[in-house]
Amino acid sequence: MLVIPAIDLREGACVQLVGGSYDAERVRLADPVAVARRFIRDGFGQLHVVDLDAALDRGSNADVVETLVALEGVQVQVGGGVRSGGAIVRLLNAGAARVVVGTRAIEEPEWIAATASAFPGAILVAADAHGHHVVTRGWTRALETDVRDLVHELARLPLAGVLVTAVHREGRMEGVDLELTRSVIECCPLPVYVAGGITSLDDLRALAAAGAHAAIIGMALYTGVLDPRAVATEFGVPR
Amino acid sequence: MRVTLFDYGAGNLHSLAKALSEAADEVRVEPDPIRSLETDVLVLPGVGAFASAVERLEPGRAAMRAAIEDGLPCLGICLGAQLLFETSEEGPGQGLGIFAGGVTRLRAERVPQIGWNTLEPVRGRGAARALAQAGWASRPEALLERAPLDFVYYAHSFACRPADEGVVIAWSTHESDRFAAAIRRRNVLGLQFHPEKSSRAGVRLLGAFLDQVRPAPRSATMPLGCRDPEPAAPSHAVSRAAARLDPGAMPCW
Repeated sequence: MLVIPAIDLREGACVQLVGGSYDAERVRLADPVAVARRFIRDGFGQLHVVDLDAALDRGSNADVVETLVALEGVQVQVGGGVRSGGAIVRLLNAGAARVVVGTRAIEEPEWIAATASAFPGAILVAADAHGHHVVTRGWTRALETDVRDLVHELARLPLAGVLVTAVHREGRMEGVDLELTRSVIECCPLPVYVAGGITSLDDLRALAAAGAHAAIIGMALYTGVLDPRAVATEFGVPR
Repeated sequence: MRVTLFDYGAGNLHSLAKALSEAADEVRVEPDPIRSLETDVLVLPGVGAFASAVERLEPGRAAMRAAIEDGLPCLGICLGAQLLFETSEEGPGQGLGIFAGGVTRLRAERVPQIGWNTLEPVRGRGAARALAQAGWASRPEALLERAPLDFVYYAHSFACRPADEGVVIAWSTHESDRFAAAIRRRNVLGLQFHPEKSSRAGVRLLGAFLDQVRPAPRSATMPLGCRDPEPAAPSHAVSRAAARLDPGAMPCW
């Protein structure tokens, strides 16, 4: 299993939110590119970049994103506000390894089917879950859909994978929702990326044992709860 | 039909077991190399390192090789496919030697290769057609099934280099290194990619392989254990395979 540090962008800075709430910003670092370089030095081979402003139509951090995806020695996947084939092409051409698509992929099955086929292996669908229910639009809209049914449907497509975020654990550092992870992997013949609540090396080992392809960590790395070098040594570049 | 995964102690086999269970009556995980041969189909899964895998394999290596040479259907995935070769640059020890040749590190800057890449079936060969038709067919009427037929998920640092390229039924290329993505000889199939992580189309490929090597039902004229890939007696299993595959494309060499 890979561990991928998260770099969430807001107003040009690298931030961490608690529970996805824009009013609960707990970390703010002025230079996201310096943060990325530090993660690369620590030994991580991949980064997960999200433009929070673009996700909520409050602005754009496109310049920072372009700099990040062009960094040497690291694969960068990018999400946040990606809602068109044009945006996907721009990000892939700029050097993104994968593009993360959320709301539109969930709400428009025909669009994601066509898009996944147009960019095989390059689209990661973010299936955010509160409990087992799918949430969209920056976690403001809860759907009736069960996340397990959603990933089962998505597995028909040549996606890079699905990214399941346990919204109810995100940024809270209360540990992972292992039951959710296991049940998603159970019904999904695609690489499964997991996020939300990862706090310890034991969390990571449990996710690896459950068969997760990758784990995305934010808060625990930024607050020093997890030592980046120790994490990178065990999970930064797969053997 | 009983499918057995030889568990050489190297990680999570759940996704693969789940994918195989869609086409098999029984999927078993067996840590003992000898006992893993009491099966209709042997699966060598794809996690871990060559040296530790062959160490676990060693007590049963000769028996496993003999069983496969004798017709036991075998599916090797990723490292499991590499175990079908003689040796590997990754570490010491003898593989099964079902295929002549070795395993060497990918000749590329980005190693390991982790992610989706092409699957390029060798054209004009029966097995390649079977692979394309069985595993990667899409029903155009189902929009969500419009998966491309030529992209699969890889996670590897080493690649198989068969001495006889005639066994290669599909290639792929990472940076400038062209490597064998799928190899086949009779009832033995080696896949460098992970079908269990390559969407529903990958799972269908596993099902198609199991259908092809499904043993014929017990009958007066067909002794139990006969593993003829082209059973003479009609059966439900055969009709199901025939419905999904071009019979002319059934590989047998």
